[in-house]
Amino acid sequence: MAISRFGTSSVAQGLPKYQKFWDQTTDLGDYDWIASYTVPNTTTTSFSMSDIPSTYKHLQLRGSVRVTRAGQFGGELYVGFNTDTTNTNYYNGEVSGYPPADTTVSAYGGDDSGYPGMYAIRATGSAAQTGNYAPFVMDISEYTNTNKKKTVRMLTGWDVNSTSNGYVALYSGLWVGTAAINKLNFGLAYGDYIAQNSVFNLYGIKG
Amino acid sequence: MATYIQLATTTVSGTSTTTHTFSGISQGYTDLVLVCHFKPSANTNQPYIQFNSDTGSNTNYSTLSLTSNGTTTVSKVHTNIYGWYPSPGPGIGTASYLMPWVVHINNYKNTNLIRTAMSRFGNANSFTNVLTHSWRSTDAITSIKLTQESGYWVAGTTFTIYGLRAS
Repeated sequence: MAISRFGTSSVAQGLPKYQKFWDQTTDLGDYDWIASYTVPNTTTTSFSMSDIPSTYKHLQLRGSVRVTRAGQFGGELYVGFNTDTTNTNYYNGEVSGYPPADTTVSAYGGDDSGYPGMYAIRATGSAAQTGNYAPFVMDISEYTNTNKKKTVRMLTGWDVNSTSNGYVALYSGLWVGTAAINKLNFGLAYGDYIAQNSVFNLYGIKG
Repeated sequence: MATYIQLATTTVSGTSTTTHTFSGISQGYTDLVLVCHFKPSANTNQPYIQFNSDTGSNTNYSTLSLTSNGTTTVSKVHTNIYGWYPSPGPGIGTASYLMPWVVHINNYKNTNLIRTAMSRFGNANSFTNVLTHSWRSTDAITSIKLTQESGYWVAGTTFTIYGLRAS
């Protein structure tokens, strides 16, 4: 949005036809924090972020995730939208690598028929170093546009001291629904619990 | 309230800048995003970043990369670099352009976690990379050093750091 600077006197006088003048002080906020969730205990298997406002163009979800999964370096969470728990409504594709044990690269695409969401968020597992939580950045484009199915792009991966399997991926996801997204539902695809102190932060991006 | 704030930026001039350090990084944010647009002065000058003056051991840092050159795609581990590394591939020093590297450092001051990140790097003439990094420390990041094995950053190189606030 183009911003024009107006004299403080014109704002102070409150011209009746133009009540939305920028006051030159108010922070306009094109990238806003919406919600956060930090896993508070050792028994969490799912949670939701609800009442997402519809006032943005895009969403960005960022965080650091670990799961309780004995003997494993990695795990995974799925993400579903609104009240849609139909497994076959979610699809994903990924290009991923598992160095150093496997230096080849995998490409995968298809429906996530086993889970009521896209299994999108990779996490470290119990075999990873204490405190090692996998970082991720997920972009959800045009989440309120009811003419479009909802699509997701994701950076996800983990590095477990480089002596054992790591994982790095570029990921895309699809929810076939066209409804505006007002709720994110997180659950376990691989793991027993979402580890305590895992962090999820949701932001809105104006357009 | 805006939550994506530029904290600092620099543009390199001349041929003498071998290192740039962002110090005194504010602890008032949740995540950091480092945006680099750079080129080292020679192909052998591998770039990397370090934190809080930790130069003691390359085992404190590691990077995993997923790389495609348009023909083949491979994933690798990089442990012989004393910092986080974009794995830029050949030709980085002789390219006629600057290259982007965007590093997302989530929860940079959360002392329950070690420092980890996701990043993307592109060298349009040879490589595109997705990378994940770890620095095996729970210390809050207060400074970031951008350096290379030898040589200098070419003129026009820019480094910018942003803070994202989840509150």
